[in-house]
Amino acid sequence: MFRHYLTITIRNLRRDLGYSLINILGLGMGIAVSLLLFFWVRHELSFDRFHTDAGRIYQIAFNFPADNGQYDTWTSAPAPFAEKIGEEIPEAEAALFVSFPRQLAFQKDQTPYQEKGLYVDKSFLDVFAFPLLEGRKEGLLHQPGFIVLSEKLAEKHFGAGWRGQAIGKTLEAAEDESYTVSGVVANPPPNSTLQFDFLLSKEDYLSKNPWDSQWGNFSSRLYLKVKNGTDIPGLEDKLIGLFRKYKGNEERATISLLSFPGRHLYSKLENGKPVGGRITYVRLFIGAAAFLLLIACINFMNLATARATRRSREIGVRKVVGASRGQLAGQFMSEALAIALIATGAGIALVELLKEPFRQITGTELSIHYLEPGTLSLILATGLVAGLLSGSYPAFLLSSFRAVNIFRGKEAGQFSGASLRKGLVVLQFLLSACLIVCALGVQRQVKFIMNKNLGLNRENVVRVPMEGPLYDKYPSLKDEISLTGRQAVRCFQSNAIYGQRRDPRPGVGRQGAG
Amino acid sequence: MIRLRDIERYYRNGLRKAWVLNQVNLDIKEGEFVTIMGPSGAGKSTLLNIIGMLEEPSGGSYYFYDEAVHQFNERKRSDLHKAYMGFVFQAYHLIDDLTVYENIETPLLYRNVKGKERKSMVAEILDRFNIVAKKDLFPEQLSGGQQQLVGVARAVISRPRLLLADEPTGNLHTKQGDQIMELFKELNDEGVTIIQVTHSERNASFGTRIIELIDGNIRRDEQLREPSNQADTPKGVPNGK
Repeated sequence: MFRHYLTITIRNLRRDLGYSLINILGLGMGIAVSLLLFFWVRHELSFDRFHTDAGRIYQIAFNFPADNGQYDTWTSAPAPFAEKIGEEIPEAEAALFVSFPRQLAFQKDQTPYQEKGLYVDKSFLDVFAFPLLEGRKEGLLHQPGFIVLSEKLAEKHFGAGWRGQAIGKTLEAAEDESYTVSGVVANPPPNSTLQFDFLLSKEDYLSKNPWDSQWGNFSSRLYLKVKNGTDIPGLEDKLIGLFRKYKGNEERATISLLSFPGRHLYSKLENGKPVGGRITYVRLFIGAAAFLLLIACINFMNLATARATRRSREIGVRKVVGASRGQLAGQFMSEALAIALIATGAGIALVELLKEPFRQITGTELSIHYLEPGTLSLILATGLVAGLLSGSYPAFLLSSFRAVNIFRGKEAGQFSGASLRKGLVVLQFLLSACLIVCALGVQRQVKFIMNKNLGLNRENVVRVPMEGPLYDKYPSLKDEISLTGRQAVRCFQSNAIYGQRRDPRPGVGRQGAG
Repeated sequence: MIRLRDIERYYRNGLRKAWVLNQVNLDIKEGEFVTIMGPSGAGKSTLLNIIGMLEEPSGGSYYFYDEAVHQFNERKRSDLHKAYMGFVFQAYHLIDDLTVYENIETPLLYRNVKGKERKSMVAEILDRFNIVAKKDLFPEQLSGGQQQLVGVARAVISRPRLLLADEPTGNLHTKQGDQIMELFKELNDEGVTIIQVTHSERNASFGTRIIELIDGNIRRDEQLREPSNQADTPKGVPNGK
């Protein structure tokens, strides 16, 4: 029976090749776009979940009373707090100091280059599951001057044959500093909030930034791994007690423990409670993906039922020779599923084509491994839903035809489901129109952002970060540039655009005028 | 085998009823070869469809092997239809996308006949109807007479007790028509009850009994000869379910 269905499906597809292509491509496009969105959603949902016991990792946030009766939440903490927690709070399995991302200039064969990395506590790799590729786990960052590289940086600095070469070697950094390589870890995956190319020790950080050892400087991030079954509100109270013990006079401040893997999706905080963030987009995209799939399925249904006129005689004959309604419905259902399967194949091809443009638009690198069980089941589920959804109505409708009426030519043109079909067309157009309006809206927004006159001339303005040797050679650089006839050179201690200090060595910057 | 009592069929046309069949009483015994004749619009095809359970009467009772078909639901009716009946159409109604072989095989698929048995049954009938060479052709590659041969083969492959034919030779020329009629007679001699609708006196002469319908009523019911081997035919449920 199955072979019989397959035969008739294939022959039907072949006979109306144009129709089949439209149908399959239509469904395939819907499936492709839905899959892309689902992959993106999965990527977002997977953020920071790969750490062992990710659910037990929290970030410490401080809530300080603001003028409006609300609380301002800071997701940073004073550096010495981590150590005190480790000593005095038994519920904390680990308390980690992690700096904000810092740029550092290294040198290879006299050529400086910039990398971004983190200054971290020595137990960093015990809590966060970045696999160690080389080096001994004990003592990775136990001394100032030790550096752990990402695979990428190791390869960049030591070449493709870095394995067995990098450990114990010295890395020259700007300002006559040098670091000894103690380990190499795998590159942080794209779905990791913590991104770095090197790890340096907390001690190095504090010796360069001694003021951050004070309790009043909220200069770094602080992560906690709590023991199983810890009462989080109770721990929050204990932590603020500890903080007051050392800092004093912060009577009204409170502490919130924010779930680390939850931070990515719920980044918006109100009074120390996560209230939203990217999760909005995740929900929006799930909805969009479902709608697109629905539109594609309705389109399929309409094409399939409209063509039923041509198939009606076959339906009548089958009924007369003994097909039950269920068997006929099964036939059309399996046809729809087979077509959905082909469309899913076409969809995957489209996903491959669209992956690169999608990455450029969203900046998200989708790592799609088709044979991975999660991906495979997502694809199959999408195809199955598309098949069942798009096959259900034709199967139900066509199997209800009465043989006698078909042979009298009655049901061919004006079968009973026509009004439902019209409704589906209206729904399809409605959904399409909504999406088009949304797309136009977004497009005009983007155009507005691009073209709005902000009262300044952005043409020919270049920002050059002052790093490494540039500090010392600033006057000659400025002269060089002036000689080329460029109009103005300015030097800012802070980033003129973000208005926030980005430099790893504040205090060295200088005011310049051009 | 068949007992029709006061069968009526009408269509509502506003407040008026348009009668197609009116007070039809008819008994058909197993082994008969009945021809239903009459002018166009007399209700011949409707009567055939009602007997074939493709259509429901508006009123009256229909007993098939003493079972009250008029009280059955659609599912039970279609089960009876499937178990006992084969249908032959004027326009052949073969499935275009299937080969001769596959067309003939289709009824067996719906009766869950196993693959091996199916193969031998189809082979047997292809052989008997002399169309073995055509088995991989599609209907459009066949002449009308050949298509109707396939149509008949498909109708009898499931060994029905009752063969219903709606103007089976209407689209064929005389020689092809005779061939089909010879085949019907042969099947009838083997015990298959046949009811055919036709305009042709010539075709009617192959049968054992002629019923003439005029304006939805039976006008004439004429026995041409005794059904040949009625006695050989087993009663009851020959085909199994």
